[in-house]
Amino acid sequence: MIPLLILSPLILLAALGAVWMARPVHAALLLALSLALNAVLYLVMGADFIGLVQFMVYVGAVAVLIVFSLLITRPGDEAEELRRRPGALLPGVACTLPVLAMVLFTVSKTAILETGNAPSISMESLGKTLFTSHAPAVLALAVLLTAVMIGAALLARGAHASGLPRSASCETKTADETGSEPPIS
Amino acid sequence: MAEALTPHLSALLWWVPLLPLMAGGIIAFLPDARGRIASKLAIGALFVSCLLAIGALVCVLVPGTTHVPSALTWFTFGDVALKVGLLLDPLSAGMAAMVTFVALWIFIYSHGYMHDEKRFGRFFGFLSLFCGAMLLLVLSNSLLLLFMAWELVGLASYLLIGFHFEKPSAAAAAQKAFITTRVGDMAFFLGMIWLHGHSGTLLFYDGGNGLLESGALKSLAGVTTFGGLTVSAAASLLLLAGAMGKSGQVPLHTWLPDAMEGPTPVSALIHAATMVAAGVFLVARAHPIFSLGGDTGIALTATAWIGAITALYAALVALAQYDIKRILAYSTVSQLGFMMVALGTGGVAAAMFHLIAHAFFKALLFLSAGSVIHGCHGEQDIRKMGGLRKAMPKTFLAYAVGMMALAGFPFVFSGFWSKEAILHSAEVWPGGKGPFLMAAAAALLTAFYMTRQALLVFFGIPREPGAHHPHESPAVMIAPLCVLAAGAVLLSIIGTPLWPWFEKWLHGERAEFHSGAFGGHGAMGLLLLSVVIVTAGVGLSWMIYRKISGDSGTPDPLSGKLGGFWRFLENAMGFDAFYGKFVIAPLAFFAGGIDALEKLVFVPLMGLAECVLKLCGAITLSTDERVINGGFDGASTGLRQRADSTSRSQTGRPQGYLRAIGPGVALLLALYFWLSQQS
Amino acid sequence: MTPLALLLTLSSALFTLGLFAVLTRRNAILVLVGIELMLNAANINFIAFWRYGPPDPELAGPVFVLFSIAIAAAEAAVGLAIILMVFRHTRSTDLNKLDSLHG
Repeated sequence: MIPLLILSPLILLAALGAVWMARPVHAALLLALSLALNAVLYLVMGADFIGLVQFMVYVGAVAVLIVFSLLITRPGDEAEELRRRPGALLPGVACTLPVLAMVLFTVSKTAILETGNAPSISMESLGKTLFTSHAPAVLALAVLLTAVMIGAALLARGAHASGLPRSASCETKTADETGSEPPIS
Repeated sequence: MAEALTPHLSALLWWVPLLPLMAGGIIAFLPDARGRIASKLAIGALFVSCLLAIGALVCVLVPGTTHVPSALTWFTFGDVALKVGLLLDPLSAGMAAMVTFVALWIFIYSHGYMHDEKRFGRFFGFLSLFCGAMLLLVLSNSLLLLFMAWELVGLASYLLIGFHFEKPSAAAAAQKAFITTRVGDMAFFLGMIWLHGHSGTLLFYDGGNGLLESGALKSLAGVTTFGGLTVSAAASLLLLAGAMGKSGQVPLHTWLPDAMEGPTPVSALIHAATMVAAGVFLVARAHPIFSLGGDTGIALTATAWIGAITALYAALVALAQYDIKRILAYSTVSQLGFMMVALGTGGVAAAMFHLIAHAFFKALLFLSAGSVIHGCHGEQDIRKMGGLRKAMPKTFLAYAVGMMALAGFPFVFSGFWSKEAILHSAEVWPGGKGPFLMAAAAALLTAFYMTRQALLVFFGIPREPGAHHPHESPAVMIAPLCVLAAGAVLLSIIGTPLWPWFEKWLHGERAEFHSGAFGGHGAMGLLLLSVVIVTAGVGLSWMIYRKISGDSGTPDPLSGKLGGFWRFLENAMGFDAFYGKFVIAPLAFFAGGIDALEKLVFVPLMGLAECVLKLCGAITLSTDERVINGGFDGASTGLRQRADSTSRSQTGRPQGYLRAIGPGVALLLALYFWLSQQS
Repeated sequence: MTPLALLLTLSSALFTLGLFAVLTRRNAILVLVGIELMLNAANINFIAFWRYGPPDPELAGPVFVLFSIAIAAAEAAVGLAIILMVFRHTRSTDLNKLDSLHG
C-alpha cells in the first residue's frame, strides 16, 4: 500500500505536467516519466513481465517516437497558454470533471472485495495461455504489426519517393481529422 | 301518265348531267400547263352525254309517255323529307337533247376560237360545269334541285363572263349579272318555299303527290292569301320574277348586254341558247300552276304583258346599237320576250319550239359574229366593218342563214314558223290584243335591225383597215356553223301547221298531217300578215342602209331622222342610269354609313377592350413576377442565408467537433448515472 | 482506502487527464500524448483488478494488457507517420489548420 501511495501522486503529477506544459518537449518528457513510473507501479504490484514490457515498449519506443517526431517537426511552443484559450478550456473541463466525479462517486460507494494474497505470473503459464487459447489473437497481432511496420515506413518515406499516386498523399491530409481513432478497426 | 323508269334506265339518265360535271371536276385539278387535254375531256364527256340524251329522247318519242325515275331523299328534318330526282318527259328530253347538241358544237368551236388563250383548260372546266348544271336543271323532277342547278348555272355564268378578269369591264359585268339575277332568285326562292309550305312537296311528279299533279294543284288554287290572290297565283308571280331575272325580261334585263364582255362562245352558249332559256323553261314546267287562274288569270296576264313589253323595248334599242354582239344581245332579250308572250297566251308548245329554234340560230349568229371578230382581228364595231362577204364567204353564208331565221324569212326557216305560232297564240288570247300588237311590231323591228346589221357588216365598201384584210376562220370553227345552220332550217319540218308534230308530242298526243291546216279563216290571214311584216322590215332596212358610205365616221342615217329619240335608244332608254341613281347610289350611301359606324363605334370599342386586356395582362405579369417569383426567390434566398449562417458551425476542425461531442456524452452519462441512482 | 480503490481513482484521473489533453491541445503530437495516457490508464485498471480482484487462472488481465500495449505502440507509430506526412504538406502540426472540410 505504501509504495502505491507514493507512486500514484507522482504519476498524476507527471501526467498533469504532460497535459499542461506549454513547451512540447517538456510535455513529451513528462509523459515518458509518467509512463516509467507506471512501469514501476506494475513491478510493485507483482506484474513483472508487464512492467518490463511497459518499460520497453511505452517508454523505450512510444515516448522515443514522440520525441523524435517533435525533433523533426520542431513545433513552436503552444502559442497561447491554455488559460488564454477559453474556447478549448471550457469544453475540456466540462467534459472531464463530470466523468471524474461520477467515477469517484461510484468507486466510493462500492464495496470492493479484497483479496489478500498476491497472484503471481510464471512465464510458463503466461506463455501457455498466450499461445494456446489466445493463439489466433497473437497471430493477428503479428500480422497487424507487420502491416503497421510496412505502412508506417511507406508513409514516412513520402508519396513521390514511394511511387504512390499523388492523390494518396492528399488523402492522408484529410484522413488525419479524427486523430483519436486507432488505426485498427 | 307517269310510269317509273326501269332502274337501269334511270341510272343512265343520271349520267347525262353527271358526265360534264365530272369532266369539269377533273379539269379543275389540271395544272395550266396541261390544259390542252381539257377540251378533249370536255368534248368527250359532252359527246357521251349527248348520245345518252338522244337515247332518252328516243325513249319518250311515243306520245303520252312520261317517265319518272324514283326520287332520292336528300335529307330529312323532323318528319319532313326533302326529295330530289330526275324526270324524263317530252319537255325535259327535248331540252336535254337540244342543250347537249348545241353545246357540243359550241365546244368544238371553242377549241379553235380559244386556241391562244392561256387559261384554256379553265375555260373548258367552267363550260363543263355549266353544261352539267344546265342538264341537271332541265332534267330535274324537283323544284329544289332545279333551284340548285339554277344557282350553279348562275355561278358558271359569272365565272365565264368574268373569264378575262383582268379587264375591269369584264369583272364589273360579271358582278352585275350575278347581282341582277340574284334579285330574281330571291323571288324564286320565296315562291318555292311558299309552294312547299302549302303542298308539302317540291317534286313535280310523285305518283300523284307531286306539285304539278291534281291533288297539290287543287290545294294551291283553293287557298287565298293577301290581295285576294290565290296561293298558286302569288307563287306563280314569284316564280315569274325569278324567270325574269334569268331570262332578261324588263326590268331585270340590264345584265345581258353587258354580259357580252365574256368570250364569244360563252355568249353563244349561255346568253343565247341555253341559260337565258332557263327562265322560259321554268315557266313552261310550272305552267300547270300558272294556268290555275284561267287563261286570263293574273299570272299568265303578267307573263304575256311583260314579255310583250320586253320584246318591243329590246327591238327598239337594238336599232341604235353598233357593237355586233350587243345587237345580238338585245335581239336575244327581244326573242325571250316573244317566248314569254307565247307562254302567257297559252302557246306553251309555240314557246318551246321558238326556244329550240332560237337556240340554234342565235348560237349560229353568235358563232359567226365571233368568226367575224376573229377575222377582223378583234374589231367589234360594225361601223368599222363592211364588205366582208367577199373576204369571208363561209361565215357570210352561215350568218345569212341565222339572220334570215331570226328575222323570220318565210317558209324555209324555222324562225318563221315559230314566230308565226307565237303571233297566232297571241292573237287568239282572250286577254286582249295588246301583246299581239306589240309582238307584231317587234317582229317588224327584228327584221329591220338584222338586215341593218347584215348590210353594215357584209355589204358595201370596207370601211376600216382591219376590214381591209380579214381572213376566213379555220375548219374547226366553220363546221359547227354548218351544223347549226342545217338545224335552223331542218327544224321547221316539225313545226309547221301542216304537220305539228312538235306541238302534239309536247302535249302527249299523236300528230297527223293536217292538210287543211291553212283552211281556218284566221290562220291564212295571220300567215300573210307574218310575210308582210318580214318583207316590210327587210325592205325598209334595205332602202335606208344599202347606200351606206365607205367612211366610218358618218353618223347612222336613222340618227338624223330620229334625233333625240335615237340617242335615247342608244342609251338603252336610260335603264342603267336609272338603276345607278336610284338603286346603287342609296346602297353605296348605306354601305358608307355602316363603314363610318364601324370606324366610330366599333374600332374604339375594340381599342378599349384591347386596353382592358392589356391591363389584365400587366396585372397578371406583375403578380407573377413579384408575388410568385419574388416569393419563391425570397424564400430560397432566406433559406440559403440561414444555411450559410448555420454551416458556420462546421469548422472542419476535428477538435472543435470533439469539444462538442465530449460534453454531450458526459452529460448523457451524467443523466444515466443519475437515473440509475434513483432506482 | 483500499489499494484497489486508490488504483481505480488513479486510473480514472489519468484517463480524464488524457481526455483533457485530446480536447485542448493544439499540436497533433501532444494530442497523441493524451491518447497514450488514456490507453495507459485503462491498462492500470486491468492490472489492478488482476492483482486485487478475484483470482483468475486464465490471466485475462495481463494478457489483455500485453495486447493493449502492443497495439498502442502500433497505433502510435502509424499516427506519427501520418502526422509527419501532413507536416510535409502543410509545414505545420497545428490541428486548427486542418479545416478543409469546413462547411
